[in-house]
Amino acid sequence: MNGELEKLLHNNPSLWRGRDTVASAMTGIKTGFTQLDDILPWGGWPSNALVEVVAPQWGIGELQLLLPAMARLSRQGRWVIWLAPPYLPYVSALIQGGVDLNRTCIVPPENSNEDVQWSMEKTLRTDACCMALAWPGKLANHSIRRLQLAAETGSSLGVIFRHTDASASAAALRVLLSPENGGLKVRILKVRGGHRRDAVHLSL
Amino acid sequence: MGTPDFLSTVELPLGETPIHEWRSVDKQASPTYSPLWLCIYLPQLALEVFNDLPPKAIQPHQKTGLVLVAADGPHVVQDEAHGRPIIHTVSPAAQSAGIAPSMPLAAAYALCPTLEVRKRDPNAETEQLKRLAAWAKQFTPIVSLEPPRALLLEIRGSLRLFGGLPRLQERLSRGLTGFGFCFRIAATPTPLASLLLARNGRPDVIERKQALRSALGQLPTTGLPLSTHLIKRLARAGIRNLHDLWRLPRDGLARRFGLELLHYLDRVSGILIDPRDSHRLPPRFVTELVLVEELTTKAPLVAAAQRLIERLCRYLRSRDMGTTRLELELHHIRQPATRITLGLRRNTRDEVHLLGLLEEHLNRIQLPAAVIKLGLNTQEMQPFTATNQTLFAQQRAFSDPAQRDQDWQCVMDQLRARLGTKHVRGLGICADHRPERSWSYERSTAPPRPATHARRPLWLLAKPQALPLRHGRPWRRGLLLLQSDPERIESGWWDGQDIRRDYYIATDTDGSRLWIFRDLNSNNAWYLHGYFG
Repeated sequence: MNGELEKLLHNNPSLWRGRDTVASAMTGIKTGFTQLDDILPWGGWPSNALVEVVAPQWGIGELQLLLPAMARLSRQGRWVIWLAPPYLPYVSALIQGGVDLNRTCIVPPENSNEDVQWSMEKTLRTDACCMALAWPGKLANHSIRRLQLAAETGSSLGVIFRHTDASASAAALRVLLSPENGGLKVRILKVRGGHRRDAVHLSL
Repeated sequence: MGTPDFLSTVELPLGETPIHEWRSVDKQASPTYSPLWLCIYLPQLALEVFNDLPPKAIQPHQKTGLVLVAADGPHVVQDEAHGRPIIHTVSPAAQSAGIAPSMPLAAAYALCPTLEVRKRDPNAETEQLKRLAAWAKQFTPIVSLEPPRALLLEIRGSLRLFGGLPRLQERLSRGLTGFGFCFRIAATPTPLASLLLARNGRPDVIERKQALRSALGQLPTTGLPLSTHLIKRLARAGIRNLHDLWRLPRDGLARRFGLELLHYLDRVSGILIDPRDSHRLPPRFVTELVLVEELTTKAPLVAAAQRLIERLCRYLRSRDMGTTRLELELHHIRQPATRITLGLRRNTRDEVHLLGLLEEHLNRIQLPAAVIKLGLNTQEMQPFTATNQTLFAQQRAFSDPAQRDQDWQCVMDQLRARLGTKHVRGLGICADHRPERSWSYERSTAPPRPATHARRPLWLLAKPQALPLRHGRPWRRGLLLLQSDPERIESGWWDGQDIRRDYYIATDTDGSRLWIFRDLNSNNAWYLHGYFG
């Protein structure tokens, strides 16, 4: 009985099991943390989408979360761009993480919000950029939707960092970070193609 | 008037020289046009290219009016010969101390301890000559550079316009004095003769070719551009000036001292023609569009600019060139024109790209008044190398790094156009242990190696932030907990910004991890320098 039930559940394509995640056509970029790879549907960061990272303050490990993926992407010969970071990214630490500095650009934070959004959209839209990190300040929902579309067109990963959590957002992946026990707790707020609300603890 | 008269020193005034005289002297010269080459010789050019010399004193010269004396004080320019530094150019003050060109530098220092020495810059000299050539084009179209320090102008055709040779010379002198150069001007029918006269301190004007031999006869052989070995051989044979050389039989001269010497002498005296290439100025593209009505809104301005850009790109395509710098001028009535300069990373002639960048600039500027005319000009054009495009454009461009880099440069151009050039930078590492100096906004060329294996924070504060002390420990949002052993960084004694710091990794009560240090130079104060983001 159990076996027949299992067969029915597994082999019937018109039956959707709520706990399955959709297997995506696109492959993901390995995050470098196996627990995080396991709970993300792409097997890592999405390679052409917008990721929203919500952190209560900077300096808890939000960059270290992305550092292995950044290192891997900059080695592929495509470019990484930093838009209006709150502090200076320290080059010694970037080199220790393995990022190729010759493929890195930085836009210092003296520009207005619209300029930052415009720059992010322009860079995400090209194929030559593989990753764009932005600290945009206030973002309206339609801007997030435009950035998501730009990331899909250009096959790039866009990451925006914010302090507060807005509930409706067009980003493909939204995570909330909080410091815990000397490590980082990553909670998935929204992931496209699934409805799991998992959390993992990473030690950095 | 039939026989050539080499020994006569009578110079006929211009315009009255009968033509049949020359026919009997040289069969190769054209019978209808006799060139007159004017040589501008700048003896102190190597010294004058440096801008930081003290201002010059003006000393009157009997023939050419005012002439500037090079900088006060002993200045020399040093050059290298056989691996040893020797003197190349001396200022008059240094000359009076006894220093001469080709003297070793040590001997010069012995003669004059307060000497100021500069290293020779041949590129600057050539650039200065080119600039002078562009200025001299107003007098004649045929200007030839004679490096290292002379210019040759063919002025026979310009004499009528400028009202005779003395007036032309006076204008040249005034211009050169205005630029601040020491110079000597000589004019003869052959370029080499003018050069010789000017170089050897004789600012003469000789108008007849027959008079050349006698006028130049007294020049010593050391004033000729011959090797020292050849000059010594000539001296041993008893030949000390040009007069002696010209008296010798031609075939014997060629056999003993070489055919080159004979040809040189023939070119000097005008028997052989010495054609010179004229210096060509770099091409320049200028176009303008007069508008039918005044424009104040941006959209029709963009359309008008598009027409100008189309003209520019047609021009570039027809000459197989691309441009890296454009200037768009918006003219207003009774107001100075607004100028927009566009600098590009790559050589381009793509209309869409250029128009996009111009549109960005136009959207950002404020127009002070209505625009009545648009002008576009560019001066920096280089030969263009096109890259092959893939036939199926929707395939990913990952496989083509050149195409990818080109796309990236286009995007960077657009970002620079919108945000400003200073707001798009790269990142590079510098070889310094001090954290605030170990990075820069310029890309580093050497492959980077981290200076240390200790952990470094991903965020660095631009200026270290002072931390208050509570109960003897540093405090930020709570008492900070030190997590690591101290790392001592002591460096920078050579430029006065030495640091002596003990760096620690600390945790705050809200969970953030900080990079703090205790400054041993300033009374053990605590500072925050970075976050482990």
